[in-house]
Amino acid sequence: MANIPPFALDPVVAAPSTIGAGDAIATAGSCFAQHISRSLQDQGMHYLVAEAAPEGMGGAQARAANYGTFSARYGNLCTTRQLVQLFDRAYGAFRPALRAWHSADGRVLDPFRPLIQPGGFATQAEMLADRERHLGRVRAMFETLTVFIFTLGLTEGWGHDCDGAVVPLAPGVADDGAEQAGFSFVDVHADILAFAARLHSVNSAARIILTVSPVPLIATYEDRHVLTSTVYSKSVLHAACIEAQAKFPGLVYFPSFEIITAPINRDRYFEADLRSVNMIGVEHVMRVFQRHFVAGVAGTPTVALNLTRDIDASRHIICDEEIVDR
Amino acid sequence: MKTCFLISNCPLGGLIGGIRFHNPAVRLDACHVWNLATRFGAPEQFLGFLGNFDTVFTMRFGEEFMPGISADIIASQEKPTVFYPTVNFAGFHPDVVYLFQRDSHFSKFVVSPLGPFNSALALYGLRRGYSVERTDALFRGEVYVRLDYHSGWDEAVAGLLADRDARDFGFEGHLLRWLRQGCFMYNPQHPKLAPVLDIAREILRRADLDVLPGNAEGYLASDLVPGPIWPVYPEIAARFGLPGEMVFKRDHAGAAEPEFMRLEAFIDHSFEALRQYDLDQHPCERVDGWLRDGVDVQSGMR
Repeated sequence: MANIPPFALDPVVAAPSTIGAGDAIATAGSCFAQHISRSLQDQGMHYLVAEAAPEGMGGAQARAANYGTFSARYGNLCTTRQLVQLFDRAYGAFRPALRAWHSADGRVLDPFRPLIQPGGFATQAEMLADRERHLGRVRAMFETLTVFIFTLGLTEGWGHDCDGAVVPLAPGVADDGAEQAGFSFVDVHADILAFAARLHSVNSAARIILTVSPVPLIATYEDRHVLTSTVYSKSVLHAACIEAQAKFPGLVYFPSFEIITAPINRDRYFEADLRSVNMIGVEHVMRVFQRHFVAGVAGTPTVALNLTRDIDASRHIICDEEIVDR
Repeated sequence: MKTCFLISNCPLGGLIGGIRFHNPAVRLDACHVWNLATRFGAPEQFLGFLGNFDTVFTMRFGEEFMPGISADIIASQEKPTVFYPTVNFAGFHPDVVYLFQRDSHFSKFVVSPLGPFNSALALYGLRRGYSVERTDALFRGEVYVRLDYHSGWDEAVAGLLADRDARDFGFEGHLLRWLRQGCFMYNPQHPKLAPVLDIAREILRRADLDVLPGNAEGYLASDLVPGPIWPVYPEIAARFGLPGEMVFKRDHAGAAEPEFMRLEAFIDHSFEALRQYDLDQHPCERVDGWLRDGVDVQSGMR
């Protein structure tokens, strides 16, 4: 590792298959998945947006309403349990008792994607109607995608004891009934395999690419330091991905976590807050992704650079300071 | 106490600082290679002066600076001589080209706002009759890909390590350590302090002198900062996992204040400088090749 330039770090040994022009790629997961989603779109790949903004909605408004952030408007899915439950809610296999959250100003939030609608919904009926539309588009997404990229983010979340429904944020109301919900290696591993089986039940050709978010936890509800919880969480997610890869054909782990956090890169791929991943890091990740997972290389040089010629010439140069001194 | 004489080009100050930091007992005198003739007049006087020293530290150079004096001639005087490498590394700055006057044997060249360093893209824009604004638009990632600018690293490494002294001084190992600290060059010819200090330490070792421990970088500033600083373009820097800039700095050695140029001003000043020369008499093989082969840098079409 010490013998390669940091930018050349490429921990992918082999990719089982590549993504071609005919593939439809959908993404979901934690906030780091948003980077992947944006980058795939920027690269002109066929990024599947199953839940598009309504006709007539302007670009800024659509972005604010989280259209196109992911392939459907589910917001961040930080835990694997959320992913499994999204699938089950979409296909009617899970109907949580939790229906809605009501904010102090009387607006209504969808507890399974509380930040999806700026300002919330005016009524519960409006929210439920939007949710039904959304889950329909989620079904369409699962059935038409050919590649699903999911970024695992956390092992800590919030759940309801009555039926196990998991929500992405701490509930905003005291009597919500949500409790802290931590997921172990066994849970995460089982969730991954359960989701893969469900997806294949509606789309047998779908390939799944898993990544682990390198973004550290911002807080933990465990009685330990957040750093300890971060290492625990990422270790569980990582081990679960690796184990699941060995058990489910068509599922592959992509080591973006390793690229961002490798000692060879020190902290250069993090922003000043040492949590957010910067675009330079994302570019490194996507460069490696493209090299191994994308058929055909975009951006082939038109001419070949011959730097050696210029290097040789430069040896004869005496710079300004020297000219002045002579 | 050992007496040593140091001959260097641009990084002279950094080498002096590094040697003094790591071994304050060395009695050191030094001279820029291009000042030898001014300071010593005749070769015999210079060789006689070297008799005052136990060891000479020198870069490799020919007789172009002082007829009758070269690094090999110094070494042939049976004076213990340590040859050290220079750091020329173009990997961060693949857009830099040099325009030498035909038949001048490299002695005359186009001087841009950043001295001998010219931008191939700016030159291309001027040769195509583009405006400053249109030329400005050439400085972007997809154009760098078209022009193969991202592949310069390997060639630059090969160029650096082609020098036997560089290999002897362990540059192959140092290179990655320098890179891990960020871009280690101010321009293709001026290294930042870390490479210069590594050279200084290795010079001492090769002269069988002690290298006292310590973080020299905490005590010394590079004397090459006043020289021209060519930015690492953001899209190129990103390939190296580094932040990039579009800020060009003129050589301000001797001036009170540094002068910085953003891209548009740099192109404007480059055009102005290039127009002072007969470009037919100052060929640039790279840009001439693009024009000859009909490469449309902007669209990628041939």
